[in-house]
Amino acid sequence: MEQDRQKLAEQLRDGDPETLDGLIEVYQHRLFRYLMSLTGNRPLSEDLFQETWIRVLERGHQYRPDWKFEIWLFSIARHLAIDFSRQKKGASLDELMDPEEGTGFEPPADEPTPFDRTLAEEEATRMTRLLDQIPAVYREVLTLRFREDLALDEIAAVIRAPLPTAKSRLYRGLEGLRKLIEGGIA
Amino acid sequence: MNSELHTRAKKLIVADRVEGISAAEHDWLEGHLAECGECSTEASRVSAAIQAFRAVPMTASPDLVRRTSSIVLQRARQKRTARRESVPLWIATAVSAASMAYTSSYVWSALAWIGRFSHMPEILWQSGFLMWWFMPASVLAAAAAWRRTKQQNEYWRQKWQ
Repeated sequence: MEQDRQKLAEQLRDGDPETLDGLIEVYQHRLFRYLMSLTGNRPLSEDLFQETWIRVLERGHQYRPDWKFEIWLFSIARHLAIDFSRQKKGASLDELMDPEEGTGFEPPADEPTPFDRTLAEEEATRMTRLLDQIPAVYREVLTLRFREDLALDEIAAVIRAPLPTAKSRLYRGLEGLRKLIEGGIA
Repeated sequence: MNSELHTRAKKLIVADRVEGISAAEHDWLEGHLAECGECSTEASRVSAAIQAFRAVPMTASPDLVRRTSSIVLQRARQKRTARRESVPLWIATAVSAASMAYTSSYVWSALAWIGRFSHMPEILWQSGFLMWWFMPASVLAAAAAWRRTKQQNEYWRQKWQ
């Protein structure tokens, strides 16, 4: 594993096009999901997705093999999202969210019927609207923990916060998620 | 059943998902859930919430991935080309710096002699020396700036295409 990361660090330092192509392929959905959790806005997440990969190319020499690649990738994405929100005159990430957005989720990949697709889209939209009600700081850690399966210390590294902060956000986020889903289902 | 036991169980249900619990705590919780319907329902609710959160389909569109790959690959290739092209620039810089260091005193003497021979004002031949001194650096800086502008224009052209 350490050797793989060492090799990856060298390839990133060299700006190797094939390596970057492979990384985009492997991490496309994970990065996009994380960006959606931060912004709650699909067009903005798409812009940040592109910018993140360009930043990976430009800053490849800063990657250290003792970091998991996804931790570094998410940190870059987070940084860009925060920069963007600051450019919007200090708006918080939550203020960037439009509750009417979020209808653009992809249908499942196993070729469902149009009826199934419509049902799935409706369910996805309903869930997305529910999740939009969770503040971005909590949605972010929930995504990192329950979708990306990151450990607590890795989450703390991505959000650049002490471990207790990451933990308390997760507890609060999970509590909020539970109440929201129960309310939404009821 | 003691209400403290329920409180402990509910805390452990969430802690298990968030940070993990010890094997002993896990065994205790399992035993409690087997006997307590209320806490068992609570555990199911937490699991259902996480499951629902995980189940929301959220993927990057193939078109976005294709566009991103194309931009990043193009940029990576440009960077490689630029790096290759910058080698002669670095060599030229090194050669020019070395030659200036070695020849400065001779050029100064030569220009001073020309100045005296042609009765030129001192400021004129000294300005000539300064021009000679800065010429290679100026030419190289101009070449580097031109290359950088060209690369940036190319980058924006591709990005907005």
